[in-house]
Amino acid sequence: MRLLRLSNVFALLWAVFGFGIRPQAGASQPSDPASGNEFVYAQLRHSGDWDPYPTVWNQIAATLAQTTSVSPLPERRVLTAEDPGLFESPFLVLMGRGRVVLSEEGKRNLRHYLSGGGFLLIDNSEAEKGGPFARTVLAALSGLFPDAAWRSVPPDHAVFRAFFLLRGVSGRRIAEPDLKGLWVQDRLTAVYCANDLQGAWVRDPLGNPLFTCEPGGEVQRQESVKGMINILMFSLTGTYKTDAIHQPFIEQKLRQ
Amino acid sequence: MMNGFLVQIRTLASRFLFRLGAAVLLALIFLQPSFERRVRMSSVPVAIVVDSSESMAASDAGPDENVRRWDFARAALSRERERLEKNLSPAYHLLDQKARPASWEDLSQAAPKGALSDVSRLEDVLKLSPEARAVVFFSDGRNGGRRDPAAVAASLGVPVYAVGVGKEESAPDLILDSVRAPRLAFKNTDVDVSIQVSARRLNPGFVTARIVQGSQTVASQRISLPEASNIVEATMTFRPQSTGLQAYHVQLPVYDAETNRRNNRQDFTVQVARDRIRVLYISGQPSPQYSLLRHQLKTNPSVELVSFVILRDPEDAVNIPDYQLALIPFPSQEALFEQLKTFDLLIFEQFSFSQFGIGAGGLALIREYVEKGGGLLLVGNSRVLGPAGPYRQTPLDDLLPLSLEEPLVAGPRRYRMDVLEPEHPVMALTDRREETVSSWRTLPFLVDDGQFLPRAKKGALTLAMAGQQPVMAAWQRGRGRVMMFLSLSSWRWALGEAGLGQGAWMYQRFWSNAVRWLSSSEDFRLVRMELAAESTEEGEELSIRAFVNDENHKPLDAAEVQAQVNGPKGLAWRKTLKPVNRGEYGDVLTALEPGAYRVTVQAYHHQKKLGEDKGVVELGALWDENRDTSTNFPLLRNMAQVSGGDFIPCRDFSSSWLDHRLEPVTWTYEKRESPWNSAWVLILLTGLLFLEWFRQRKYE
Repeated sequence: MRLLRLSNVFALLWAVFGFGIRPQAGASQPSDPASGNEFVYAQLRHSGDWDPYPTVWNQIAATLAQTTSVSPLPERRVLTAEDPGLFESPFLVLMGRGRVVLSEEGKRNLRHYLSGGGFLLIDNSEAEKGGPFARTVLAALSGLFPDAAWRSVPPDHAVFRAFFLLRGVSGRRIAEPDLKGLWVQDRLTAVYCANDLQGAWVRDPLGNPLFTCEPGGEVQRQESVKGMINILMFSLTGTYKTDAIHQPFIEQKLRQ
Repeated sequence: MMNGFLVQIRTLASRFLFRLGAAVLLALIFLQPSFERRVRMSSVPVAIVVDSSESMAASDAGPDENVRRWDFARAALSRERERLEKNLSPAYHLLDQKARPASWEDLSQAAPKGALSDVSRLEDVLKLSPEARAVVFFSDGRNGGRRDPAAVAASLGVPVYAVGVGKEESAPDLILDSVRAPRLAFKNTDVDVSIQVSARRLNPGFVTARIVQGSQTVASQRISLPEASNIVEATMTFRPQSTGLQAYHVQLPVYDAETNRRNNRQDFTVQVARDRIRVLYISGQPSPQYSLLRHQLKTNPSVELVSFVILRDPEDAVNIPDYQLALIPFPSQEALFEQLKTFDLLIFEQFSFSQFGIGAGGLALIREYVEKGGGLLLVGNSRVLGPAGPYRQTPLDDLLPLSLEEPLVAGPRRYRMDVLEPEHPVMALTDRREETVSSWRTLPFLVDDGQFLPRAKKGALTLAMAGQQPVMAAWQRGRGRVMMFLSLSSWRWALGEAGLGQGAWMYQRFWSNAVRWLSSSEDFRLVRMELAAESTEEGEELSIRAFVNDENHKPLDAAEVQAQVNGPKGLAWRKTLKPVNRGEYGDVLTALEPGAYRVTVQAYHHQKKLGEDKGVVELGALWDENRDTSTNFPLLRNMAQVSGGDFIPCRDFSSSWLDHRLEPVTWTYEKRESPWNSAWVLILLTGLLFLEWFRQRKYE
């Protein structure tokens, strides 16, 4: 990680110590969407460093609203795995660093949540292969579904075509070249990105990226932005982009 | 004393004689002794048989070839009748599927109506007239029987004198030889119909064969006319648009020169079943509502889903080259609505159609689609499905069960739905009302914008409320069904149920119910009919059964169920069906003629029409003979030859031709007599008994 500019140092201080306007982070009671149809970004509070980028949802929400027809709720929703509000939040992010320990109730809730239609994005902010976050989270999730296993999401999967046409996964630092997925009853219910996908989004109050993207630089950052949007869109549209009606259009574009 | 003794003897003797006579007569009546005697005949008994099948109605006889064969044969017989009856002993018969004796008056009044002529029935003629020494057979030679006519003729034991009626050289004719269609097909799925066409004395060229339903052509194909005596085959394809028993016919063009115009058409029926419910789901916005409902429909094996979701609105900006976007253009109005009729259900979810080029014309097509039987489901919040939304005062407005005319009213934002009609097919989560009601109460809250339409339209059924306002309503429009659901958060049911560790069965059941009901699935029809056909000695028998449910889909006992049956000759029968079981009504029609019968059953309750069902059933054997009415004189010649008889065209027939071959000679034949099989014997017996009674009363 290279911190090159003074503005980045300032922004880091801002992010860590909460200078400026900090999003509401601790409310476990879900705030209701205004129209019933807004996208709610719910983040899981866990035993590790669960909130490395408290403002990242602001960036993502703005981009999502600007580029797609999705109406994101500006406030994020913070939940624990034991929180009943989990079942009012169809999209859930588990991110951070360090060991993640889930209670039995939390594990049971997550199993019901994923099998009932919820979607989980696990974003490894450590961006390290085999780090404590990756080890503990993947093991905990695998244990929820004995018949399921983490496996690579194929490049022609709908998650790579949900809005942008992508050839793979990106992130702040490429620790693993592929996205891993957990399928429950043939539905991709959880994806794991080892590359700190949302770290590439983080900006300081002046709008400058807080972290450089390794090794691809700004191109990699752009791919990270697209990748995050695609994952969000996939959670809202499912395998829509693999429907037959899309195939000729997508194949034609991929040839370009 | 001596006199008294003699009187007593005489009395006893006369009583004995009376009783002996009565006993003998009784014995004769019961035992029926018969004897054979030799009968001497001085004129030849002949069986004159006239073919009365429908092919004899073809008009190719007479000098100008415009007289019906039947009329021409009868005229020839009438002309020669006097001499025939003078020189011969004719016994007249009619022959089609059966042989039956006929008087001259019967012959004069009969008409060629038999579905086919079975030449083997000539054997029955000789059973009816055993004294006949010859058979004179007036026929065009069309034979619908299965046995070899020549073999039958050879086995008769008497000569057959065949009189050929009609034009030996066939008239120009375009013939639909056969139609082969599957008995069972699926709605909106291609059905292949194979046809065989032959032509006689027609110039080479093309004809267009059509498959017609009612008055609408559903498929057509150009066919090259076959060479003489060849048959050309073609396969035509169409897609049934409605379920149930559907009647179609294949129609070939009719040429002026054709004498037989009935073989240019053949009827067929197809039982059309629902394969999968085809759903077109258009959502204006990616959302959990779309994601979970799409997944629910996509994983339902009885649903074939095509969906569009608007990923980007026209005002959204993306500084990315188009080739890096996985977006496809929204289908044009023409492309969209061209395919619409192939779907059973159209779902608009938070969809502002006007942004995507769908105008009043497109909405009018949707309206027509619903009125013809399509389903329409509108899901959304008050922004789209409200007075300020795009649907108000459009061609769709009349279809909507909730009124868009009045201002929105505030209601709860977070609410548990209050189900008003737990037994309605959409809302019935279980088979038992109480269980359904309690199930709905366990479902999680819905969370929406808190703005509601104030009322349902007259005639619409409010299925559920949010506080004091309707949130879900449905009704029937034309033949289709429409439902509005003013919520975008039913996904909460699925996740909420999952949180209770019970899967999402109520969410799945609700949406499965809604899709099936809206698509007018067969199992949700209020009036359903079953037809059964059977052939009996007295004719064809048609059994009609109607099953009637009320609007909550419970068997309805107090319905008035009317059936109308239209047979091959128009209206045959109209009656109120009798109740036979709970919600079941029926009756049986007997002694019907073969042919296609259209049956319509309509059910009413308190003078309100609940629904109707229609069907077509084919009674009896398919009508074969008129496929080709050309004469078959070689067959008649062959029959005459193998039986020792002769053949003559009807125009040359005369009694002298027959006299020459059947010289009147005196001969004898054995005749079995049964003299006691007579009413006179019974009268005599009664008379004897009466006389004895009278004598006893007067003299003893």
